[in-house]
Amino acid sequence: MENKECTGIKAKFSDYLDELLPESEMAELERHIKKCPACAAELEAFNKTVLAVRNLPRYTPHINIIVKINDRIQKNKNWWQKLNTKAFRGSVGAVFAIIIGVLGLQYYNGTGVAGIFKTKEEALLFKGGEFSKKTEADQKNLPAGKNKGSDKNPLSGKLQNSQETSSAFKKNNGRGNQQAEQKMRSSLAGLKEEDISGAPAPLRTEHLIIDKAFEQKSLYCANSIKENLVIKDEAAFKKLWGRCFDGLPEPVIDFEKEMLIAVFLGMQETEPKDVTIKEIIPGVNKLKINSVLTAIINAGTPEKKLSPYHLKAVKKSALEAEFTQE
Amino acid sequence: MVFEQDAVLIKGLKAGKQHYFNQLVFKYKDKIYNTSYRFLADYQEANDITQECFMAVHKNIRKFREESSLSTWIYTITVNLCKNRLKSAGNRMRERTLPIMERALDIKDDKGNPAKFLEKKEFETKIQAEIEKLSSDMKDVVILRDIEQLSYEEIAKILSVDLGTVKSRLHRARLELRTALKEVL
Repeated sequence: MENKECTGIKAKFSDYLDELLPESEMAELERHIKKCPACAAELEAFNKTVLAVRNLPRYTPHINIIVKINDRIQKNKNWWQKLNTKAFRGSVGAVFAIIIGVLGLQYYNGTGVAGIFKTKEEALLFKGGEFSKKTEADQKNLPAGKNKGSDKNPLSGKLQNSQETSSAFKKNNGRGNQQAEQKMRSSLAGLKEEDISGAPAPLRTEHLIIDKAFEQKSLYCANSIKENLVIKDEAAFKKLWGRCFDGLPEPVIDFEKEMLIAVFLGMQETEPKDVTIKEIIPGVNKLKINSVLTAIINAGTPEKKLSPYHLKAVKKSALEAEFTQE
Repeated sequence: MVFEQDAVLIKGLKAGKQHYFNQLVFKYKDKIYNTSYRFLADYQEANDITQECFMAVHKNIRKFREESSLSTWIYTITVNLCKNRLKSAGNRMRERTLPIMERALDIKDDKGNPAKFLEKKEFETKIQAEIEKLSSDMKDVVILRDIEQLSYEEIAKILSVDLGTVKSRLHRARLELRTALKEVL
């Protein structure tokens, strides 16, 4: 007959077999088993059951299961995961390295990374060391209907009579609208020719360059004297402007921070030449300003006298200027 | 075969190194397969669950936050997969596949004595049948404790229950099995 004590003891069989009982309870259970044959038989049967389950054979999968698992993983991959192989990653890395290398080289050579992202026209201007105002001036020569670009430069419109680009003289055919269109096209063509011939190398101003600083270049002005100038104050600039571009509104130059470098070639009679400031290099004691001369093949307007010049505002420098020409 | 420590395997797996995944499969395939077999009593199903478990490990290893051990995490996946399979209608309708490979191995173990093999197989089949008759909760603890011999703490983590629940479920399961197997033991 099972008593209360036996019921309590049987409830501990599981913990007893797993050795989870505290020592005192363990000893108590063992004492009870010794004196109660029914509980002893029950514990033995309980133990046999647990052992039978524990001794069930262990099964193992076929060895090729690893192949099947890897096959299923491959099949379940998305297309981009399948692409993500070592070879693919290597190729992408190589392409990026080449792109970075090309951009770096362009930056190092000074051709300007920004030029890549500009329009063809702007890129050409940027590359040739030319200035955008020149093109804007050309665009002003177009009839109203053709000129769709915004012109924020107050100078460009009023300078149209005196500031025709060099390319405009290289091609002098047609009249009216046709002529204006020709000028526009030839402006770009002229720039391209210059670039190919390699005469005006990219402008090197090193630390002196200022974004959107004043720059002006043309074949015509009222100055018939060959001279190179560095203007550092407003009064001198007013004097020069009055002498060379009388009647035209003065551009704004902040002479507190900037100075103007001016190269005038003077009156060109036989074998006319154009001038471009190529380099402005601050040295130890001197500021080297190097300009290049290029031949004007076909001026085409014999009634006008050529006086090419190039003006460029740069950061103010205390160094003494030294002008050279190639 | 000597396997890397779980911590090393996890690091390698998270770095996407195939070599570590293969090691993980070799280390845990038998445990997963045997557990699945005891849940489902079907070799083909156990094979399927083993593959699915490793696929899940491969897919989710980066999300594994190491709050539990790798072993606990793998067993949790296995138990959940098995329970889902048991719940599916298809599972209840299917015919079980026969353990041809394992049978052959057993015959070899018994040195070609068919009578002994059959007796042993019958006994095993009876125990397996009684395990299957247990309620889902009791079956979980019996398989994890008495077959896989995991600790109570590990079982509690896998089943997301407390230690006391594991103990009481196990005791009840063993009592039921003891009653059911009285005649054959």
